[in-house]
Amino acid sequence: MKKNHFPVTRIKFSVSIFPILIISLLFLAIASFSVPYSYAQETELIRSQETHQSEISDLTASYKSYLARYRTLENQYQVSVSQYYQVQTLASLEKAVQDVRDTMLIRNQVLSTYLKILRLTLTDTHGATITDKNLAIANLQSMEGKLDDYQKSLESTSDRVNLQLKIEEFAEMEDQIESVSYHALGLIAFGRLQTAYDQTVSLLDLVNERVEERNSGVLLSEKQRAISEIREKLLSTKALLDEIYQDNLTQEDNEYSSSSYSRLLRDLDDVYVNMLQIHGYIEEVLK
Amino acid sequence: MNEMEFQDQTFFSANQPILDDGGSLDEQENLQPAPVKSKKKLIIIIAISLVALVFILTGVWVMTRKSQSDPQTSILAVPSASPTSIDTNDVVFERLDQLEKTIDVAEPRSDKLPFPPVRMDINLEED
Repeated sequence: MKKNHFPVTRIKFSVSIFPILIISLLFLAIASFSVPYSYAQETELIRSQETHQSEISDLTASYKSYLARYRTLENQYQVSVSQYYQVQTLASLEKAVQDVRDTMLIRNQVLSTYLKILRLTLTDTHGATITDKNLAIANLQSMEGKLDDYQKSLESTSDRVNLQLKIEEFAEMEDQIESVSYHALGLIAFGRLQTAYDQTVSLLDLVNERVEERNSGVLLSEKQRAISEIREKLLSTKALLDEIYQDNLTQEDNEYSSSSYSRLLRDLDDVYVNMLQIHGYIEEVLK
Repeated sequence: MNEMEFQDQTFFSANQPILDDGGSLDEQENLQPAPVKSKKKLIIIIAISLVALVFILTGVWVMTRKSQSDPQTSILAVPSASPTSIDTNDVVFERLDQLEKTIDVAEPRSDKLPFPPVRMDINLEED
């Protein structure tokens, strides 16, 4: 009889544990799916950044190759034009027209590739105002489109008269190309220092926590005074950054040039020096 | 109750029908002996467990594939340091190193993307 009683007890025990077992297994199954899902989302974000990095690397390689080709063709075109003016023959004119056209084509590829590199680099750069960044990216895209159209029309040009028209057409785009490029370059240069500033602010909070954890008495007071000093330096750096942005990157006429960019870099140099000094101070506090 | 009586009673309980002949189908299922019922339940549990196991293994496989396809994070991605897994001290120094790199990259004078050194005034005129 005892033999009959024992299985009944075991079955009852098993039945009560079954729902728990099933629910546990289902939770485990869901968890095992949700982990790779969230991991996939994170890696997707990283991959999108990696894609830009890899695209930028590919474009940089193409850019260097186009630039090398451009240098060869530029020398060639100067010789051809010079010869044409010396000999004044139809054959030399034909050669000059061809060489000018080929040099213009490769220059177009150099510029177009450069704008793409700038656009992707700017996309990956944080720290600039999102509105200005989006505007600069849109301008770069628009200019890339114009250069693509120009490339196509230039490829079908072979006579001197039409080539002259293409030369004039490019002269009208020249300032725009430079302006969108220097605007983007300015935002990249500014964004990188702004990112360094942002990282320093968040790091300083951690440093403060660590100092409070590990020090006491006079040493703690000394380090806290040092952190206050760093905060002051950061505040003045932020004010400087804002001023530089206002002065150099919010031009109403949207005309940026080599000289305006040089001025911006000169101004940003002060911020850079401040950031180096702050980094040194933090190292000192952590000693 | 002596031992004989007890044996008779339990013998009767074990062999008597639980329901009358007129019971429903469900009720008739209950007529099955306990070991048969537990066997059925066991089969169901094993089937569910197998399905869950397949889910788990698929999840693990997907995660392994992902980790293999993303061996390295971008230099632009800020490393996520978890204070729970890494000592605060390590996090501070890791971020200090990261900051040093960011400042190096941000040096304004080291212009890594200079405007292309191309002639913008190419024409058919002699220089």
